[in-house]
Amino acid sequence: MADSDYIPLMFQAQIEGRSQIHRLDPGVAGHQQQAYDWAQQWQDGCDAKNMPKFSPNCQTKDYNFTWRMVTNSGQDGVIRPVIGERGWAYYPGSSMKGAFARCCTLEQKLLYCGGVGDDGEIHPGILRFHGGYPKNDDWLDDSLVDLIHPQEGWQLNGNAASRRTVIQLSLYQPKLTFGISSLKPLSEDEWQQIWQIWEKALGKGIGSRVSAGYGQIKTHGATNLLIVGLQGTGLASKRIDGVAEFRPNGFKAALRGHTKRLLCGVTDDNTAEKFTNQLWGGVGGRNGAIAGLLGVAFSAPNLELAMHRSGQYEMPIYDTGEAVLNILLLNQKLSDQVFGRSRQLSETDRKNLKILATQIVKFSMLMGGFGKSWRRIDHSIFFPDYLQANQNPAIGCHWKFCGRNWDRYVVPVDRLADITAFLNGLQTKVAGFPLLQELQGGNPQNTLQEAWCEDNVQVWGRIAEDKNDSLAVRWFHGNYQGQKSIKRSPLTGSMGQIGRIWHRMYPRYQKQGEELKETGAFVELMTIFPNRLGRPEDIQKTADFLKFLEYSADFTHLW
Amino acid sequence: MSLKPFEIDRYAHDLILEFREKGDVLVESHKMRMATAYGLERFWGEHLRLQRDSRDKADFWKKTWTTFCKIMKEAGINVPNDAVNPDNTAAVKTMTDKLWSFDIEQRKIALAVLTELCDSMVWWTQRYRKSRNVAGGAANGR
Repeated sequence: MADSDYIPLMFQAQIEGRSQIHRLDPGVAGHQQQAYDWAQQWQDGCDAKNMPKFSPNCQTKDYNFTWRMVTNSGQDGVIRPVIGERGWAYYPGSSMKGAFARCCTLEQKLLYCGGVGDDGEIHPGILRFHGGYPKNDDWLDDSLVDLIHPQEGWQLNGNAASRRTVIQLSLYQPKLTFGISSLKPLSEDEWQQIWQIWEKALGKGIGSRVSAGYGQIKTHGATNLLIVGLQGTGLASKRIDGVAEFRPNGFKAALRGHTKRLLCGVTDDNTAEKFTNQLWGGVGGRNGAIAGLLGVAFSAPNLELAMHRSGQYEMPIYDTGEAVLNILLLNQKLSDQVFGRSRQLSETDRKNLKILATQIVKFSMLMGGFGKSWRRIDHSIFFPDYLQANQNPAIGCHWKFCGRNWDRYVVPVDRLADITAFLNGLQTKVAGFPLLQELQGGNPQNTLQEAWCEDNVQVWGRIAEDKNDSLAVRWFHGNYQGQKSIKRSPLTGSMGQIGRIWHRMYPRYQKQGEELKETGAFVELMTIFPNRLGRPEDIQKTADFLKFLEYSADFTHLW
Repeated sequence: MSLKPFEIDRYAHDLILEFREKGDVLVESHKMRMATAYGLERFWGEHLRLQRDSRDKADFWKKTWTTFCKIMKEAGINVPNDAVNPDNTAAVKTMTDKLWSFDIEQRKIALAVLTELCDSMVWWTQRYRKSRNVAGGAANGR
């Protein structure tokens, strides 16, 4: 090999054939991707023994991040952390000052961060922000390589072309030490107030992609819109090097996807797209990015990952334990790209957003789950035979509410008709959502595969006595009647094709007097988007199955 | 021995003036100054990377590189400057090999000169760059 092949990737040209760390090369095995070499070269080159130290006149505090965090350096053609002193990953002081200033009152901002005073002169602030460094050298052993794969087009419309994966480098569950110093001696009380402001800033998330759960600590203060206690099991993601990782950005993907489905059921596609971007953020194209109002953060201190092995298959599975999903209100302003003018959220807007977010969470939990394979029930719970007897891969997920306030999000089911009532009410609430009304969109166009409108989706349900009483799960893996089967059809989906059925075992809660009681029973739900296009025999197959549901099975058509 | 002026600052001045009319291209000079920290190859490769997004930016980097090579030549150091198509990986490798294999002392001098050139370019950028914020709002619709 020539000399130039031994040059560290950092010093190579950022072009094809040299250093291309943002690109996932499909022809190369996972851990041999250039991004791993790059990260390893960085970690090896870092001066691990000499941790950067803040000067003694600096106040410092440590904070743990619940998942990944990154502040983009803006270099190397890839999103990666800034590299600070001695090669240590670094959260820049300038970013820290910006995040801090956004959480100050005008008065505090002038005092601490500086600015133009009443006299029209520029005054310096008294504080100096020294940024944050990892507390110890653990991060040098972590995998920094992280994936971004936008798949909204794929999930909602089966559009395979919209699936692409790019690499970013981010810190995994880092513990960072932040430093602040002051030009003037300050009292103990004042320092306490300063750190409180900084904690407020951290509560909103710092760095990039905070709305998807990056850069979040455990507490969120005033940013919190909803706190949802959740526990889930299912299939975990694999990093490119094959290692398991539970990726909380799946929550945002699910909630955002459902938002779009629901909106497409009550307004035209363009309005639905715009409003989804207003709620969850969007890259916007020609008109620039839209800062979303909502974001998520997830904290699962007892998360466990394991391997499911059966025959030749080996796949990672998770159990989150009792965990907390926070829906955050990250932004206080409506975008002028959406509304034609930018304005602050009113108190009423905030209340309405809380109602809408609650409804979307209720819907997400009623109809499916979160993360990979969310359209299917967790086979290890509801169909263990399938996993034991055969050499089959693990499938599905199962989520339930836990912790405080769970009753806020539960759809109690005394009779199946309660679900019909919920879905009707949900559609009315979405259609009548005041901010959406302001946009005056048109009629639903029904072009999205999973648009949530009457002639595009059917919901079927039954009460299942216990976890062994799922009927439909067997229909996905065998015949549902005689020789008739939907197995491996476009209805159920297969590798490389999104199916048209969601299957859920929703824990059945019943009202007993004023209280909600968990019954141990389940509501078995099938959400079906019948094919309108495709081969005639596939359309016929779906029609046969729907007829079967109508006449022979004990499922009831709920919506 | 007598003083030999290499007129690095004048070359920088002319480069900035030449690219002044091309929209936002001048901000690249700040990136050029940063890229010098990563050595000659990173700097040289940038004009190839940019060919896909912006012809003007690519031209700016290339012209700067060519100017740099000219200055070095006057000083008796030949810095490689092949015309390379970014799709031709073999040609890219040939060029990078050349960049990492000429005499190390000469390479150090070359990098120092490139850094000096970029410093000068940043200086002129700060003087010649057209303001984007003309009174009454953004001048070019951004």
